[in-house]
Amino acid sequence: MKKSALKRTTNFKPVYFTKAGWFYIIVTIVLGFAAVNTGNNLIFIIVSFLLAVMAISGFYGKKNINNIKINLRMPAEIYAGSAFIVRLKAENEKKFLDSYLLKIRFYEGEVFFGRIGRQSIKEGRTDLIFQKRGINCIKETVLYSRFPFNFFVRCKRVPVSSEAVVFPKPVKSNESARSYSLNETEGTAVKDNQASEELSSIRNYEYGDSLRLIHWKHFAKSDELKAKNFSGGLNSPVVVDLSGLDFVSESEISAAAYDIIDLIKNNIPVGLKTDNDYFPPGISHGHKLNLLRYLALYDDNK
Amino acid sequence: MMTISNLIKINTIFVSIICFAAVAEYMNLFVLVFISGVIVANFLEIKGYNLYLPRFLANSLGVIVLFAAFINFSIENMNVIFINALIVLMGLKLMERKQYRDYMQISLMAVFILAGLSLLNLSMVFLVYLFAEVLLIVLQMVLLTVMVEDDTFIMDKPFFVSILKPITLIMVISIPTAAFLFLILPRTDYPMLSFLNNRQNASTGFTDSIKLGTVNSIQNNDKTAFRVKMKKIDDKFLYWRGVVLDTYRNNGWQSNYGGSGTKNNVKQESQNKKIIKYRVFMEPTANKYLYTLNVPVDITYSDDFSFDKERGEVITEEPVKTKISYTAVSRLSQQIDTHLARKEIYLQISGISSEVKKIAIRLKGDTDAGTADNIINYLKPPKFKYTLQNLPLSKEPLKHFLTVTKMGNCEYFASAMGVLLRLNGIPSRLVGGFRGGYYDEGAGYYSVLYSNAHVWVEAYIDGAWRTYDPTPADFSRFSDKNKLSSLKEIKIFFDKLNYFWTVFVINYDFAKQMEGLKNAAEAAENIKFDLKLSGKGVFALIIPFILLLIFVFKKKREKRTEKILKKFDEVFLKLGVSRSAGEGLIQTVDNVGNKEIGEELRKLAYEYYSAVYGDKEFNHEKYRALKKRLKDVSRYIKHSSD
Repeated sequence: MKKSALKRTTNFKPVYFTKAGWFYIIVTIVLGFAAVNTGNNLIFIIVSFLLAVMAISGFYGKKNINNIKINLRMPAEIYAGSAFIVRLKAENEKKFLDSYLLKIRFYEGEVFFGRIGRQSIKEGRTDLIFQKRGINCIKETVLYSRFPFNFFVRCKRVPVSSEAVVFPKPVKSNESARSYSLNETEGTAVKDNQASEELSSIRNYEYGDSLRLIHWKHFAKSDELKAKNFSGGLNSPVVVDLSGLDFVSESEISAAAYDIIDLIKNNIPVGLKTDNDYFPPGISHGHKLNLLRYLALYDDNK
Repeated sequence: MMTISNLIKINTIFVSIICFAAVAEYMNLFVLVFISGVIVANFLEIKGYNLYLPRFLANSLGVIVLFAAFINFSIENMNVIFINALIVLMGLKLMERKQYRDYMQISLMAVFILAGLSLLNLSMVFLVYLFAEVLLIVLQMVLLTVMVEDDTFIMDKPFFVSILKPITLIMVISIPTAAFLFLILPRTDYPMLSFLNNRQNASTGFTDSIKLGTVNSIQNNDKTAFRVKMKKIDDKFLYWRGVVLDTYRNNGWQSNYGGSGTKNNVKQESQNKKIIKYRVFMEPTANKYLYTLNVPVDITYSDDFSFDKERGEVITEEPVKTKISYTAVSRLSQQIDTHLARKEIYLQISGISSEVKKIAIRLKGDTDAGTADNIINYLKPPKFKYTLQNLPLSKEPLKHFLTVTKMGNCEYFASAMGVLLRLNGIPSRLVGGFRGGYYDEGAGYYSVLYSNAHVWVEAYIDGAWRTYDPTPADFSRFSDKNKLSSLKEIKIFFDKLNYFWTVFVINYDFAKQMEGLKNAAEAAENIKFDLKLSGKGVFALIIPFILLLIFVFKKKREKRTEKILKKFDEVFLKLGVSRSAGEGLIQTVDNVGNKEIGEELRKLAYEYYSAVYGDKEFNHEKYRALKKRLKDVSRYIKHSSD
């Protein structure tokens, strides 16, 4: 399921001419022809300037996109098919030159910077959508710039290392989602239940427990994090069951994801069962992310 | 703060003004008025007034302008017509609602108009206009590129100032690059379109007739007539021959027998006279005479010409309408030994009053040479005075000069002597040309101005044309720079610039290019030879170069963040604490004993982290501020420990 998220242009060119660029070249050739055939040195001077400016702009354009370091930051929860915001930091590592009019493209996103000062960092953001669940890697971005004269667009591949686990697209479906309820005695490892009314005991805080369970008064006294245990009034835990199937379709995974999100939102502890694994019901945010991550990578785990 | 489109509009006006100013002198009055209106309309456009011309109307008018240009077409003034048509087309473009391509077209037209100007005027001022135009167009193209990326871009002052830096850099590098390209761009000896060139406004020089008063009008011109690359010679030899005037008629002298080609009856000089070779760079005159040092023996010029050795006169096929250059060889002498075949030409005389004839008889000597000397002595001061003002103007100026005013300039003196010689039966003629010239020691050339225009006499005595200069003027004023006014001195300075411009730019051609390449190749070969000889020397040169490269690369890699961390570590060391590998700044600050310094360092550490990892950029200013404060802390520590 691992794939490069960047659309690689098969015929990547480090530089391509714009219409204006071609026009400029033709004009230079015409004037060059005029210079040679009139033997007029002043026209030779004009042509020399045209060529010099062209050559230097080419050189400057290359410098402009050199030494740009790019960092991408992905949010923790990304769902397939839903837009999310990617933050991008671009650092101009050049010692003497500012960089202008930079466009950074990756996947379907694009970030534009008018100017990045020498040895400084600028941040931008863009919306992105990953269509498929699983690990999505952005291994490189492509840097574009028309600077200085829009005669050509200079492009450069800039490697980045950004990996995101894209959760399945949550889709509500009553038919395909298979789940069963557990009775209270069967229910194990239910760590959190907002609906509980009475505090029965306190225990050590564990990773994944809801912040709401922290016993703040105890923390104020002892500097130790304890979680509260409640008794009575628990919602019956639910286990989403994907076991015993010949083939788990994408729609079933999407439905399972929807159920997990929906149940936890409604304070119902939820677990997950597949042919190979069993996650006992839980209700914490960490637990939700664990289940969704498992679903995101489902094929790889099988 | 300004929108990018308004900034482009303003710059477009500047691009247009520079371009129009460059060709203003060739503009038709109607075009000038139209263009002024267009500029005003463009200013108003920035102010928000909508004064656009619909595109179809502008295009239709453009077609009409081109049609009118074709109707008025003539070989003589086609460049002026072409430029005026282009200006009107550019004006129409300026009146349209402009988009990216329109702005590009306006810049292109400005370049074409300058190219057109180069066909009309080879003056150095062209370079000033070109440079200004290139600068503005480079700025324009950068602004247009910003517009292409974001047409709603708001240009603030810092961005504008910052973007001027790359523009300056591009300009600074483009000048030597263009100079280099100018030298190496391919040239040909046989340009196909050379007829387009050389239709310049020329200053008036000598024509084939001189009426009393003509030379004076030439002398009033302060411009340079020509420049001559040569060794410095004695001032007394500085007579630059132009036209030879053989006929006296209606109070004036004319050239009626010139241009007949090389005469072979010039005798080989028996005396051991000095021969000098020189190159003349002549400004356009619109006349056909080439100037040579008295007495020319040979001339090399790329166009058709005739050289009459007996007259010492060089006449071109076509009038000199552009800057030209030619090489000549002269013998530094005051005489031309020749057999005079048609003596009567130089004795012809008419319309002379009896008073003048009487003077002539009085001045007759024992020999022809004696007569000539008598005339020279007769015309000397205090009896006769040299003046440039209040010249005698009457129906008979010569008689008036000899009998009444006795004041005049060179043409009166020369004319009088010529007539007095003829009246005594001695063949004579006048030579119109230049006297003196200002020598530039550094560049090694004479600059001869129109104000150096002069006329002298040649008398045929004892088988040779002998030079007589009856004008009693102080000739040092024609060649001594110290006698120039300060304004003229400035002119001479610009003349020097102009000289280099003419020699190295205007006259640069295929032959010089080949010569340059040959020299460069020879120089390169010599270097190679030297390198082979001294392998150790090369090694000694390369090692420091490699070390320098390593140093530069290492230095480059060291980023600002690392530099700041290094500074922190230096301060920590002074405080007796050290930061172990991987330890954060805050942790190390905790170990600092001095509370005051610790607090300041903590603040700085937070600032550093927020700058490096925060949302805002870690720019040069922040880096410098942090560096400065760390330095202050460092100083404070040193101060308190002292």
